[in-house]
Amino acid sequence: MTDSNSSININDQEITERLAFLQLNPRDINLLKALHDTLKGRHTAFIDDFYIQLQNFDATRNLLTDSALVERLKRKQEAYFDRLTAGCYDLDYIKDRINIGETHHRIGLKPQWYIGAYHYYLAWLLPEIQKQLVNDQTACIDTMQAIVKVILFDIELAVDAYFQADHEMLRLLAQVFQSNIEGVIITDIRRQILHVNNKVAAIAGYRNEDLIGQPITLLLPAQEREAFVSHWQDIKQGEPWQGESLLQHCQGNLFPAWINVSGVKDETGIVTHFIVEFSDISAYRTAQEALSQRTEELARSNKELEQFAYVASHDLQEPLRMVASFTQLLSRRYRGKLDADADEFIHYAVDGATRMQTLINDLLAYSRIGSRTKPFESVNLNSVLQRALANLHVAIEESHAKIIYDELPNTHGDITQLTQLFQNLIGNAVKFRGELPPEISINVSDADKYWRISVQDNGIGIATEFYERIFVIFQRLHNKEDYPGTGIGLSICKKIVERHGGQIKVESERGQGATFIFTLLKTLTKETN
Amino acid sequence: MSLENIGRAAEFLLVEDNPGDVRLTCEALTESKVKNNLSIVGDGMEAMAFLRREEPYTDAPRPDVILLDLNLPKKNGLEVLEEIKADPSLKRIPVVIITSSEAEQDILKTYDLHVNCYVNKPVDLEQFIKVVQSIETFWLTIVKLPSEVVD
Repeated sequence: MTDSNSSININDQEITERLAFLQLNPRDINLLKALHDTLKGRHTAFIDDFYIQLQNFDATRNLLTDSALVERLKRKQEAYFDRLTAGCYDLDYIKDRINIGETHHRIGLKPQWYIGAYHYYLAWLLPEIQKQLVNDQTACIDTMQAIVKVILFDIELAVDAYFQADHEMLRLLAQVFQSNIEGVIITDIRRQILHVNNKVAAIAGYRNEDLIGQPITLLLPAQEREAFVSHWQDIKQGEPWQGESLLQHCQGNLFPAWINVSGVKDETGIVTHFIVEFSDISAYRTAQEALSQRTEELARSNKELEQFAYVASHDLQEPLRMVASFTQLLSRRYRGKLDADADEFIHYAVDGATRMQTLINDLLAYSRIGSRTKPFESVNLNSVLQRALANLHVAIEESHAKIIYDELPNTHGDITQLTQLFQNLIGNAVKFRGELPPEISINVSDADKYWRISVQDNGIGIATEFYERIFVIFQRLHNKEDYPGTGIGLSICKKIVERHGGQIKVESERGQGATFIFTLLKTLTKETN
Repeated sequence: MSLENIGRAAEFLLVEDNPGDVRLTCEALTESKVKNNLSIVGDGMEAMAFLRREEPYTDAPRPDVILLDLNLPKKNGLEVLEEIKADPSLKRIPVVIITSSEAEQDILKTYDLHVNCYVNKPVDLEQFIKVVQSIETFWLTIVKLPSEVVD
């Protein structure tokens, strides 16, 4: 038992003041010393009796099961009573008394037992004093008063120590309460808020004083209240509840929270308070959404891979088959004698071979967008556009296309791919032209985190039902004779735009021209691919 | 009764966007012993217009057998098959899928949609001609088809 943890700061001056308050005077000290001498060696019998008494109460009996311990405690107790009347109430004496209170706190012995013990002692001692001083009534009463003063002093010190220790524990628990990483609210049985920790303010924005006395439902948006309160019946029965709910910040915005509600029971098992703990799981949700987005992307890329495999097994075989078939036909029928039909067959053979080549090349180009890539760099879209127009100049001149465009912004990306994006879109606008010479307009607008770029033409347009299909690899809307091509261009555009963090769509009506609109992220922190 | 005994030419509808394949099919049917007419459409939408005698196919003959490719522009072969088999006036016309796809899922899907048979386009010309002629012989001279309802 050390006093290093003692929570009571007491000094000589404090002792003097406390004893002065009790009016413990030198006469008292002398009377106590006189009493001390007469009591010498007489406590043993009393203490034996006292310890028999202590066996009558559960709380004390349970502490005294070890007989060796009981003997040790008895000797201590004897010394304790002996010192009571020794007349020396200095710092050392007081620290010992404080230690008693702290020890009682530690072992859960409430002050009532301490006071009861003194009562028991007085019941023995006062008749003793009366017997001693039967002939001097004044000295008898003064001695009794003196001993009562000292005992009151003792009780004061021990009870003080007991409650200081209690207070210290509360202080530590309060710190645990305050420094909890979750918001913690204690409510009464009617769910009115009694205590909140600082984290509540940090998460939900309310000041503590705005919450005390309010119903817990204040933190819930209207649509969550009914569901939340419905859990309360179980919690009242002692079943804790855990779950997710939306909570409402004092400024009105909602946030997802993980909530734990439990009842606090009294000694009889009745719930008297509720403890509501909650944490803001927005960040977790965001991470989860990001994860599911990644999963979705993965699924999409898997699907593309499947489609790729399908294309490789299906579309690539077709031209190969043509080459084979027509070459065979040629030899079968016109071996040694060439004529017009033979020329045609040769044509198809050559055509098949050529298309196979184109398909393979297109497929490679498409797969390269995601795989063999350059790191993103600063890009001036004006020069990208100029490059695309230069690549298309033959087609543009032949079709007498008129192209007007906005001043385009700078962004980040892959120059080659962005050039291909513009080239494919403008190239399509020229290719799928109507009766009139193509008029193509390229515009840009600011859309928050994105640049929104549109390529508008006056061509044959696209029916609504084909809006999705045109972006799928190798999907065509026309016969190869009318509009040659493999149907790779727009799927490449889509892949390029998506790799640059944007989206592409078409707005059109059949015969009314088409507008392809794509977005590009203004700043790319990392590749979205 | 089999078509052989009708006395008129058999009507084929070929739904095929690849002119090379169209030509190969023509070649195969030209060498045939059965008198036949071959109508050709290049995509799924035209095929349905043809079968329903919509513009510009108002005078189209009702085909005795439909040869249907799977990979078609606008409306693919599966969609065409599904529509034919869902249409009470068309569903009895035998539909032969003739495709270069050997994908198991295509075979399953088309049979689920009640295709009459599924044939791969052989890479070899001799085989191709043989397959087309077998289809013709089988559907025109061997099987019994329901009599066409005459309005």
